[in-house]
Amino acid sequence: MSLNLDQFKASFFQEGFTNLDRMEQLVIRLEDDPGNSASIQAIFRVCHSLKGSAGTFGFTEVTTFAHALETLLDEVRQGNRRINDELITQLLLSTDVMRNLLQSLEAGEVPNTIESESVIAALGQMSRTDDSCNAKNDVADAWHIDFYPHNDFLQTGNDPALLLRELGRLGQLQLTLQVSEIPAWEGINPELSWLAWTIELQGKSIKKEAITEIFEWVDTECDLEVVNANPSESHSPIDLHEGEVNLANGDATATTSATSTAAKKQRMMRVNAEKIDLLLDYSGEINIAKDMLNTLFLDLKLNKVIPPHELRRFEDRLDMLHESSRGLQNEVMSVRMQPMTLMFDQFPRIVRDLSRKVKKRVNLKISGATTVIDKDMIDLLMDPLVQLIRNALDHGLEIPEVRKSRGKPEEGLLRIAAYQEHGFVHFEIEDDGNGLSKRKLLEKATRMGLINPDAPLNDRAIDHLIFAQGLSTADELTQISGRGVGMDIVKDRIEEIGGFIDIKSKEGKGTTFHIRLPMSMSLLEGQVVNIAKQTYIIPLIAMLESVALEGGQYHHNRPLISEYQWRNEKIKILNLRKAFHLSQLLGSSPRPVLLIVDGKEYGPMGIIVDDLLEQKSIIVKSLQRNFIDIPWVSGSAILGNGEVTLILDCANVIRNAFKSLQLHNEGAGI
Amino acid sequence: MANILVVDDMQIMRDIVRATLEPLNHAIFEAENGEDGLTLIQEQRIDLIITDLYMDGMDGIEFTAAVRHLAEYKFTPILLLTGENSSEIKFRGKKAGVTGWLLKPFEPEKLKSALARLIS
Repeated sequence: MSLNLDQFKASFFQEGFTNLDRMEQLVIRLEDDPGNSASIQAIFRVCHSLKGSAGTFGFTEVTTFAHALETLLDEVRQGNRRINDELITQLLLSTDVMRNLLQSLEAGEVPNTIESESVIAALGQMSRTDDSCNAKNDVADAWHIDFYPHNDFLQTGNDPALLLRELGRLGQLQLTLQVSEIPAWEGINPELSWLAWTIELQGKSIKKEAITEIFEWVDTECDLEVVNANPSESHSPIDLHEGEVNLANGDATATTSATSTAAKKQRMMRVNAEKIDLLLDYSGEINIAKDMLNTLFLDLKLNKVIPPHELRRFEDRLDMLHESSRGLQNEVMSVRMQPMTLMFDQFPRIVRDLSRKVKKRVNLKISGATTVIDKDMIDLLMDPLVQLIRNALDHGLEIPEVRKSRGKPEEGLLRIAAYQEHGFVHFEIEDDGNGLSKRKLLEKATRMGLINPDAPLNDRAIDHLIFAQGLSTADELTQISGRGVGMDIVKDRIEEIGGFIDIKSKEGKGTTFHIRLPMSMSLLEGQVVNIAKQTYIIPLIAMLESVALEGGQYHHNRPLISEYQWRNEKIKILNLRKAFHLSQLLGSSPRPVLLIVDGKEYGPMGIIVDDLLEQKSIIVKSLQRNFIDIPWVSGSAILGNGEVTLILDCANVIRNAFKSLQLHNEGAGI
Repeated sequence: MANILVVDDMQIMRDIVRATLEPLNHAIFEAENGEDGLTLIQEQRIDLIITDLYMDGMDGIEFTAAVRHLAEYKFTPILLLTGENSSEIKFRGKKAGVTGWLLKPFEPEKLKSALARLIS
């Protein structure tokens, strides 16, 4: 046993010192960027976890100090304390104190606490704690509790009845069951939770902490609001985060307490996510109806059926409808948008844990956590992003000795960035490590029969081999990334949510993954195009550029695949009329357009269309329930003239064309 | 009262849990690792599982995920013992279906009060 304990101690110290180094970096970063709430959150977490692990070993000198620091940090985190020179100095001093404490403890000495005690006193002085006031807010004779379990509440084995029973031990309970969320009988899934409760709890000096502790395990599976309902409680300050009731002055009565709670409730409302989806559907239908009305109007106008003096009124009303339906759609969409802060906040910790495991030093740079994206997509993004991070740490970055020998800084760079551009959300995950070995990739792909060894591939196509099924997992099973999923799965996940992933890698220099995603899965931003008198939709996210071509007869008799000079690259262009076997007899278009689209592993590719029509936001209708799965069609939409239009999956159109020409191997080797 | 399974690779931990819960009339079953635990719960009805996080073979979270795949254990409470108050572990745990967690150092009183929230 004692041997085991010593082993644990060694790793505790190792972890402790790494943590303190990190905390120091974070404090310095905070000084550079005081507005960065992620830094302060991270510092708080470092301090908190150090306190916890020191407690395990009974190092009270460390826990006492960390506790004092945590109190101060919590105020900073809550925004109650300004970040200034004095604070930064104290925080840096605190890391020194804790490092000294750990050093003495590691050496088996009794630590000298004179220094730590004096810093604790200084921290205490800074800390604006008014214990008497806090105590009053956190203890009350009456509490109002809103307890709204999420649908999946039962899936983790939690039982609301047991929690309520425990709550009942604190005082007298008055429960009101909320049944408004219960769906119709045929819609009930017995494994989901539909019930919610509003609770009045009365007793003698009940601590808020005692209440929240009961719900400790389920804070992510329910919405919980605990509000001080003491009728005499009149001087508690407003705290919207905690949901405290704010009352103006001492003569407030229970009635005003109730109304102010009610008033606050009206500002925030819980809404079933399915209802928002329905709203979005309806707003999409309104848009389609509006487009149809507009088409009809244009027809009538063309045929001069509308009396001239009524034209103007007609147009004005259509404009009104247009404005409000677009406003409606934007607002409904914005309800679903959320910043990615919660997800991004987990990255430093994940990176820290992993880098320690693989014994690498990492300089993590994160930006863009506040970029917003559809809430549904955040959950789906976590796994692929974490996998890319794991990959960078495990295979990308080198261990410090190797980096040194290569003339790189010992600390490897891992950059995770999110930003919004052209209406899409972009992610970049970059490391300055090994980069991909093109030779190894080619060898492996050849061995697995994925490529024809005689057909040369360009650099992009080689790098993209990493996304081939089974390639990244074949024989690189390691402790970290091997346990997860391969790069092929990462790519699949990204594409399932309508995104694109690209890779750029330079051997010895590093790798960058670039992900491009729509802001929402519910709406598709599309370009309507015309090919041989048929309309199709091309997702804007797939389009890189459009080039107007000269001359009427430029394209219709071009071969299926030909070459084109685009910027500094020679790219392949695809004749869509031929690819779709559409009539060549229709003659040339007066103004053909070359669309440069993302051909994924083929890189930029051109496709020629006869004409560009409008760009619009489209509610995608799935075709698969009624038709077989066609790989180059990703869905359909209804246009203003009532026509059902296919949405093209450009990369698959291109793949298909190459396949049909048996050009696959040569084709990828542009 | 209840059948409780303790999964931990340290004999001492299993002994402490047994010593804490047996006086409350619970029947304690033991497994040294997740694999043995999975075999055991399919032979013996278990009402509550207490599992360590770090173990040889599958860890406590992977074990939880495997338990949740068994239809009869979809809603059985699973308590995770962890030395780390880490949001990543809680997040991963929750995703796998962990009911709740207790932080080490292990304190018998904390386990007793946690039990009230886990079984009726």
